[in-house]
Amino acid sequence: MADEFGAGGSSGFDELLNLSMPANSESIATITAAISEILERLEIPEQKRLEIDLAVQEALANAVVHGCEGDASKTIRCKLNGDQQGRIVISVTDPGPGFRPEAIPDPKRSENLYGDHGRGVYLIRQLMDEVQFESGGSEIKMWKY
Amino acid sequence: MKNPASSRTFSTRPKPPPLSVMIAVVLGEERRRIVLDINVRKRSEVQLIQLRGPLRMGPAVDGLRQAMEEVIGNGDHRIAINLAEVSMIDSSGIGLLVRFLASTKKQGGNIKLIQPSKFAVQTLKLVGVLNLFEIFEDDDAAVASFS
Repeated sequence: MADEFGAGGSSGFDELLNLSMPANSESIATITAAISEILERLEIPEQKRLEIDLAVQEALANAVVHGCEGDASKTIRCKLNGDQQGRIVISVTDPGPGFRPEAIPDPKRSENLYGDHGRGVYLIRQLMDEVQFESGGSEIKMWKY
Repeated sequence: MKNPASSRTFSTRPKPPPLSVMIAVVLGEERRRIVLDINVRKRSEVQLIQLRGPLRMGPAVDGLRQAMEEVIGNGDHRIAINLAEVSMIDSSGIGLLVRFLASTKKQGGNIKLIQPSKFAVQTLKLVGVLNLFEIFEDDDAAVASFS
């Protein structure tokens, strides 16, 4: 059976979390707390947990704000899969039209440093080992090895 | 001891999720803090803001925004934020900090940070804004730096 979360063709990822929730900040807090709990039980090192936690926070925030336009009647979905080697893959999906990640300005350019938004995708790419956008940008998959 | 006349606490506690979801995620141990406690007090003409919890999108960032707007609206532009007990700062929290840093500097003031965690420093550095802020080890040093 094909493993949709296989990274580079690898398999053996077990589903650890699969939540669909209303698109609001309370859901983000709930999902990140659940993921944090799972990662602690997997004995993922703290630094790695913090990085994953923040990346997921950013992905969920984007899903709520941009994918769902803050409409709590819409649903965001988060899945967490992990393998025996401690590798994890997380996907976040929203019902929005998607976006072009390459069109996001570099937040580290001097003219953007004092901007109050635009850092989420950049942070995700820095914190996770591999990031893929699918379905036109309405789904993000993030791997941490 | 807090002086009620010069200290304010803002509530950022979000509404709890549905019980069924809570049961699914709460496994009997202490949960991560999802609430940001904000305490504001004045010391030597500097507004000292003590934060406790994650600074993330939602009630936490909204609460800090409200607190900052009130402080700045009262004409105070010298602000020190103690981050020693802030577990995480997401991009919304960073955006808020740099936005108010810019506005306070325009008024001749500043926002200085106290004891950010190692991970908070890493996050601020990753997005290139760490060097925009002065960082201090404790409240006394931060307050004194405004003199």
